Amino acid sequence: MGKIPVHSPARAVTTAALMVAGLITTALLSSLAAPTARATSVQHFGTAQLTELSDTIVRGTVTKVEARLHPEHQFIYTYVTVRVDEPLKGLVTAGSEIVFQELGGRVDRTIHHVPGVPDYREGEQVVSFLENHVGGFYRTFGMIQGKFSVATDPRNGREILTRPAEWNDVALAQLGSVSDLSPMRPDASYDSAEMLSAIREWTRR
Amino acid sequence: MNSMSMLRRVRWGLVAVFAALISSPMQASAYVLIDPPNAWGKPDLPVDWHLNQTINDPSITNEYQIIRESFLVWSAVAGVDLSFLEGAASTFCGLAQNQQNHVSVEDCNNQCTGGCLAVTSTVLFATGDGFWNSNTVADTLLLARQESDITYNKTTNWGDSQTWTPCAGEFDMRGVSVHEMGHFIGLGHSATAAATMFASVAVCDGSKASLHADDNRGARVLYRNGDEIAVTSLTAGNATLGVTNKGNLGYTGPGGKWGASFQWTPLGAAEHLFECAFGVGSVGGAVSDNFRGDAITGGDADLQQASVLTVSAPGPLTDEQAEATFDDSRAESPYGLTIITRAYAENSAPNDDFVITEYVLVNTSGGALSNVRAGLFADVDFNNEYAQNSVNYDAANSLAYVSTPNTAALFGIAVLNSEGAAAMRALFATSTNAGENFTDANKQTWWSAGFERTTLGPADIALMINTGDFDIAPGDSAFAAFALLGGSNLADLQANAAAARDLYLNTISGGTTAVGDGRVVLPLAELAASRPNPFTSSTRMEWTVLTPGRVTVEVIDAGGRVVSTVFDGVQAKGLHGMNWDGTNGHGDRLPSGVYFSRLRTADGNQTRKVILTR
Repeated sequence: MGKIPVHSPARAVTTAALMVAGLITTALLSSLAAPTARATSVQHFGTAQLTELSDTIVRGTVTKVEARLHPEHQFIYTYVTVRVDEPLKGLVTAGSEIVFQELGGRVDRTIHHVPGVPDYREGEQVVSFLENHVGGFYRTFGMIQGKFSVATDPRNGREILTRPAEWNDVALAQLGSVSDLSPMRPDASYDSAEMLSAIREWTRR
Repeated sequence: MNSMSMLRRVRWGLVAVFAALISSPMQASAYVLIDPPNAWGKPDLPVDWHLNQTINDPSITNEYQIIRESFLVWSAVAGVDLSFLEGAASTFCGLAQNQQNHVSVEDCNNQCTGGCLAVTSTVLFATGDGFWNSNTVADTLLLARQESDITYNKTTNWGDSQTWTPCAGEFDMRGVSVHEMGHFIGLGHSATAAATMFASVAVCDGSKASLHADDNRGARVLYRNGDEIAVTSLTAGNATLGVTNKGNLGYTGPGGKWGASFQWTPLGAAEHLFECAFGVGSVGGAVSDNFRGDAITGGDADLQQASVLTVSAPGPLTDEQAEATFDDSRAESPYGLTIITRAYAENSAPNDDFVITEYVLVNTSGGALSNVRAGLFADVDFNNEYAQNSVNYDAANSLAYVSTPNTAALFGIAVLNSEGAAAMRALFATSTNAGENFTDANKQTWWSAGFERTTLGPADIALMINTGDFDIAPGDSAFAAFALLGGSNLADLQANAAAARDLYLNTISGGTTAVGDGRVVLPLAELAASRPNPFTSSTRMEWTVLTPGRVTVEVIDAGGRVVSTVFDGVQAKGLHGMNWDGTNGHGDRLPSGVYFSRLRTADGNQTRKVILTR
């Protein structure tokens, strides 16, 4: 069976279906390392579940990150503007800009710290699984597990998708069986082409 | 202290503070502090919090009760000074900055969505000019914790009844709540899978509602109580040694300077120990120790003091003596050992170049302990030339010693008890050398490895030396003793080690009551000297109970008559104390004179002199 992580020495993905199966398998099996940090309890979703449950999935480029105090909530949110390079799911179009509203951030000297929230940086290329949130905003689905960064594998130059370093910051609470419960590997990375192909295939079902 | 030593200490402090700020947990610990590190300060205690009860929904009564009880789980951790006070019901809901810590069962502002079960936010105020993002904290950024809120996702399929038992499809709200309260107090996620603060919780997993030892340990790092280390220095003849009531013999890193380190008159005021700490552990097992441990770095802090530190000069056996009791109850896997530590110093030759430290390992675990070793870790900065020190080992004398190029003099640590050294290892003092991190795992390996590397340097060095192996039956005890000594050359150092061994085996050890195979019957309770003494209006009497049971503390006069009963009742293991105001049982002021405090337990009596002056 094809394995998605690029660390696998032998990948032999032949069909999209196999890729989806590989994603699911990887999501279930690739998390044996000890986690590291921080707060928040969130359900743990495999990648296939993320694909199914997210309202919107995009590959895009972060063009602006700004934290603001919400006057009604008296809470700081970080607003992340992303130019959609490729819509993968949902009613968004390539070239459009959408805004994520993420919990927490820093305004002047005040920090509202909500661990488990993904960190976006201007210029960063991402693949994000999103929920359509209130007020026309989007929010990363499953908190930190719903964001992948686009990077290049220095060993072979191939494009990969990586979880942010804070991936294990989330307290993972899973709906599935006991075998599903381990957190993902902190260095989990995926071949970008295979991952995106699998997502496309999954969303067509 | 010379400039190099000072520089090193400053450098150490900066590194440690920065390490704390970026919340890189020492590998020795599984618990993790939240990033950026912050906790409630003592002025914040009790931490007030408020339930959002704007929604009058009787269906969530159980959830409110679970939240209340979840706070109490953390305040009940032994050795922790942490308390909470529930205030009036709040109208605030969700995560919001409003100068109030509030907990909302209802996610009013849609902040816990997308698979979120519960979320904790903390409001921090940056008082420094550094920066922070989710990965990096600048070392100039100082943070003040102002508020923390928790919000639950009410739509979760919660197992939230008081009598909930794991069942399909439900999350244990109690376990999730205790976990969130852990974040509320400043803990991150533990690497220990069984810990409540581990990153994952499973459907139907009801195990997280009770704290694991690792959770307790993390809480103690942030909120330890009763942990005001007691420090004194024994000075006799040429040698001075700082001693404490928790096994540390010197410490000059972050968190303060403890005692006089080890000084030896021929080398002036140079402090030759950067850090030295006692450890105990079985062959192949974990080591309970305080080396590289303090609240700032989150390192090892396995040993908990169980008594005051008493000093007597002259002492019963030598010119100066100190004594204290501690245990390894803070270790992740405690052995159940209570350790009575004593230090002995003599004023005159040939015993004036060393201080002896003795450790009585009392097995209070209830079971047998086998292959136990006791020893010392020491980061030595001999003659303030820390970068040029070299370690060597004299097997014939169980003597580890340190030299430096600019003097022929030496510093040494010798095992004095008849078992001799069981393991010795020369170490790099800094983690810049691969494999020399003082992790739990490395300590455990070194502890059991024998004599794999006994020479090292010139470098910034440390060393470990232990003795054993001891098999200790329940209630029984074993003795380990070491001399910290100076010498003008190797022959002189060896002669001083021999003198220390002679003093220990023939005077100190011989002054106790040996039975059977050399182990000693110990008092199972200890009465400390009253303080102040002499006294006029009131004096404090403290005693340590090692075996729970009936305890009586009374004052008797010079004629042997009981004039006052300070305490009479059943007490648990631990340190206890009462004040005595110099009156008899009728409240009448007693006249000036010599009296005696007497501790009586089922295991024996102990008496101390106390002088009343009017």
